[in-house]
Amino acid sequence: MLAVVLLKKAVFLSESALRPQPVQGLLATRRPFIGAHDLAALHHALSLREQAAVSRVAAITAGGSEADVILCQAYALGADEVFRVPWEGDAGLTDASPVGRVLAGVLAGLPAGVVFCGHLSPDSGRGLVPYVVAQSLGWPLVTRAVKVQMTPDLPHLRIHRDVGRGNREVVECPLPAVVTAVRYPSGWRYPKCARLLAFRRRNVPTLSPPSSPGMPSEKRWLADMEMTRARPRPKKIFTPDENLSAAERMKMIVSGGLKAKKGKVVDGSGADAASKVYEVLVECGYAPK
Amino acid sequence: MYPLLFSPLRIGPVVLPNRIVSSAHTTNLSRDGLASDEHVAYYEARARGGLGLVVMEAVRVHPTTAPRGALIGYDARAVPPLKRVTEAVHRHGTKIFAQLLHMGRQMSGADTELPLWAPSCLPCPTKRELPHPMEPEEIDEVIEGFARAAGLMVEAGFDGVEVHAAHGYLLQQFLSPFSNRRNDTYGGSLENRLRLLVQVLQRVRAAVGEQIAVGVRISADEFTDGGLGLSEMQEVVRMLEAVAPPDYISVSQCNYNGVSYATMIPDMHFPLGTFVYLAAGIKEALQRTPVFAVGRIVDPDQAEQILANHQADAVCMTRATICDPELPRKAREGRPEDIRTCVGCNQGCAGRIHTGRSIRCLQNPTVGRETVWGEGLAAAPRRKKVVVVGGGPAGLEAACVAALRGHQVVLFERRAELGGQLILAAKVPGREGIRGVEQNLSREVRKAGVDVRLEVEATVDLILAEAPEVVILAVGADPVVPELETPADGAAARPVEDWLEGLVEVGAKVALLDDDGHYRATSVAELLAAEEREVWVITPRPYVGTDLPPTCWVSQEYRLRSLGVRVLTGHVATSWIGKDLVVRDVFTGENSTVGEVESVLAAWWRRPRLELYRQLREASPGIAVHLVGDCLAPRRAMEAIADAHRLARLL
Repeated sequence: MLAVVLLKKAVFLSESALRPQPVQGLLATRRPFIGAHDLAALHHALSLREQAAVSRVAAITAGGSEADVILCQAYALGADEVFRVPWEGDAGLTDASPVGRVLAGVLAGLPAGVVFCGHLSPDSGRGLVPYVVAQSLGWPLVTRAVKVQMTPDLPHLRIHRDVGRGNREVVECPLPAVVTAVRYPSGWRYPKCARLLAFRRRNVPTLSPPSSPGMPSEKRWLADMEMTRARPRPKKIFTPDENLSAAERMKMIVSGGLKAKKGKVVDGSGADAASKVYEVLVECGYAPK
Repeated sequence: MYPLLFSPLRIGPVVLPNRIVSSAHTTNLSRDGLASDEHVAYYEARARGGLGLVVMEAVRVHPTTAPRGALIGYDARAVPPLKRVTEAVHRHGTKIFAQLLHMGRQMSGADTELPLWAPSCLPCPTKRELPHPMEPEEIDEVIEGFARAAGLMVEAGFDGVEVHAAHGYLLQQFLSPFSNRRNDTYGGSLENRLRLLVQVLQRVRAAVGEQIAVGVRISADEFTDGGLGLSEMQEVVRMLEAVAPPDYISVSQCNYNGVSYATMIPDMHFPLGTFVYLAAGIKEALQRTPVFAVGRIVDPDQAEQILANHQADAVCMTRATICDPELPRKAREGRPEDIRTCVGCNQGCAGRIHTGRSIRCLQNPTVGRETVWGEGLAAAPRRKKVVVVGGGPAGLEAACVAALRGHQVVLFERRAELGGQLILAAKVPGREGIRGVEQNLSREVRKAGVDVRLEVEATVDLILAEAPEVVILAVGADPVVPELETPADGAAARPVEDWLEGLVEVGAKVALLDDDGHYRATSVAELLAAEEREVWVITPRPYVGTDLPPTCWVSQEYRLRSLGVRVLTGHVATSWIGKDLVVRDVFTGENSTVGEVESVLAAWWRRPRLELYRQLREASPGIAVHLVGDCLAPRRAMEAIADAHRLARLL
C-alpha cells in the first residue's frame, strides 16, 4: 500500500495575499519550506512505513519547478518517491479548490491507501485542500491527527485526534482515507545528506490528472473509539539533578536545594524581642545607632 | 472546603469516595500470619475517620517471604480473617485494597528457615545475607504466587490489589541494575529487567479479571548510585502503561541501600511533601493512569494543593491518619485546626515496626490498642477535682484525657510555656517539628477546658489548696552526668540541656558522652558540629543512636558523618584533667586519651524528680497521688504520653 503526503510549498506569512503588502517584497526572496503541519503529515506517513503498515511513501506537491525544493526536503527526510503536479497559479493561496480537485484526480490514479496533509499551512492558514481532496475522492477525512496507528487485523487506521484543550479523541477510519496532521510528533527527523545529493541527480517526475476522474463508489464511515480528557501537566516542582550522586540528591532534598545559611540567631525572652531585633538591625546597618 | 480532596476518583472498576489514601504499612498485629482482631479494629478506626482508600499492609505471596509478624497471602486460611477486615472497612464506605509482596533478598532467611530468593547472588546492603539466584521455574512459581494471592484477595472481599514493586523488594530487585546482574531474558536491558513485573501484572490481571482494581507501587528513585532514577522510571511506567496497564501507580522511593533506606519513611528532618516531585515526574510520563503521592503529606491544605497542582491524583496521608484517624472527617467538616498533625517522629510507627513490635504512635496512644481503647473515652463515673503538675507531654495528655472524661482539671506549669522537654528538643535545627506535639496537646488541653496556670511553682500547700481528689505528678527528671575524675578547680561535665538552655558555653573541641541512645545526644552533636566545632561522641554502646528508629538512624548517621563528627563506641570517660579526656574501653578495660578537649557535655541518665511526690504522700495520705512520664521512670515522650493516657482513663 502506498501512503501519499501532500506537501505545500510554504512561504512566509508576508507573502500571503491575505497579509499586508509592504513587507511582502522584503521576504519574497526567501526559500520555500515545508510547514510544521506538513512535516507532521510526512512523519506520520514515514512512521506507518516503519511499522510496515505501508510499503512506500510518496510526496506530492503542486507548482512550478521552484517547488522542487520542497520535494528535495521530503526526499532527504525519507520519502521513497516524489512527484510534482504542474500548476501555474498560486497553489493553495487563492486556488485551493481547483488545486484540490487536480490533486484528487492525480491520487485517483495512484494505488494510495492513505493520504496525509498538513492541517493548516503557515501562510494562508486555511487548510482547504484536504477537504477538497477528500470530497472529490469520496474518502473519509480525519482532521487534527496527532498519532496514527494501523490496526492489526483490519485495513483501518486508529487515529488520535487533538480536539482542543489537550483532549484526545480516538477514531477508527476505514481506508483509503485522507488524514490531516496538526503538529510534529516527538522525535525529530533529520534530512540525510546522501539523499540530498541523490535528489540532485534525478529529475522530478511530474503527474498530470486524468481528464475525467472516477467518482467514489461507496461511502465509508468513521467509528468513534474513545474520548480522553486532557491530562494537565503537573506544576513544576524542585527536582534534584539526576546526575548527582544519591548522597548529593539526598542533601538537595533535605535542604530543599538551598545551601545552609548561617544566620544570626537572637535568643531571649519575648519582652526583650523588640530591643534585640533592633540591635540586629543596627548591627546589619539597616537602622541608625 | 477541600473540593479536590473530597472529589471521587475512579481507579479501574472502583470509585474512591475521596482522594485521601492510607498506603500500605506494616502493623505487626498479625497472629500466626493471619489477620487479627487488632487488625479489624485498627483498620475500622481509620475507615470510620473517612478515608477514601485503605491499602492494607502487605500479604506475602510465597513461603520464601514470610517473616515474623507478616500476613500470609498464599494460603486459603488467610481469607476468613481478611474478610472480617474488609467487611469492617466497607461498613464505613471506604474502599480497601490488598498489597501483594515478595521481599526477595531484603529480609532474613532465619525468619522462614529458607534461602532468600533474588535475581542475582548479591546481598542486600542492609541485611547482608547472600540469596539464591532464582531459576526460571522459581520465577514462574513466584508469578503464580502473586496470581494465587490476588485470587484469594478477591475471595476476601478486597476492592483491589496493589503489586508491591517498590522499596527494593523482589520485583524492584529484578527491575534495578543495582541488584539484577542476570544475563538471561530477565536481565540486561530495561525490557528484560521489566519482564517479571509485566508478567506479574498480566497474570494478576488475568486472575482477578475486571472485578477489582490492580495497581502497582514503584520506587521512582532508588537513591542508590547505579540504581534506578526518575528518568528511567518514567520510561518504565510508559512501558507498563502500554503493555500491562495498571489501574493506578503509587509512587514511593528507596531500597534498603544505605542512606536510601532513610527515605522510605521520611522523618521530620525531611521537608513536608518531600517526594511529591517524584509523583509529579511519574504523572508527567503517563497518559491516563492515576498517580498516588506519598511522603510527609500531613495537612489537608497541603494535600489539596498537590491535587490542584496536578502533581498527583490522590495523596497518601498514612502517618497523618495513624496519628489522627479522624483527619478526613475533620477536614471535610471544615475543622482542620482540630487535626492532631503528625510531626514525623517515626518512633511509634516506623520505629517499632522495624524492630518487630506492633504499631504505636507517639501522639495517639490508642494506635494498635483499638480493641482496648478504640471506642472513644468513657465519661467518668463521678466528676473529680484533678490537679496535674507539669506541662510536659505526660502532664498535658493526662490533663486532656481527664478533662475529656468530665473531670475538673487544673494544670500547674512552672515555666511560662507548655511543652517541657519538647521545648529544648525543638531547639536543634531539624528537630523543630517535635514542638508540634506540644502545640497539638496544648490546643487539645485548652479545648477540653483544662485550667492551665503557667509560671506557677507547684508546692504541697498550693496543691492542697485546690482540694484535689487526684494529683498527677508529671514533673520530669533531672539530667545526671557521669562522674569524672577532675581537678578540684577544673570544669566538670555538664548536661546537654544546660548548653541548649544557654547556661554554659562550650569550646572548639567538645566531647559528648552519650548513654542516651536517642536524639538527645546525636542532635546536639549535630548542632555542635554545624557550628564548626570538633565533636567527639563517646558512648559505651555498640553504636551511636541505638534507640533511634532504624530509618531515622540511617539519616542521623548520614548527617553526623557529613558533618565530620567523630565517634568512639564501647568507651566510657573516666577522667578529664587539663584538656585530656581519658576513656576506658568497656570490653578490654584499657585506657586511652582524647586530647585538647575544651568542653564535656553529657546526654547520660536522668533521675526522677520525686521530692514533691514524697512531700504530698506525707502531707496528705488520703489523696491519690500518681506519677506519670519521666518522674515515674525516665523514658521517651511516647511512653510518657501512653502512661498518662492509661492513667487518665482509669480515674
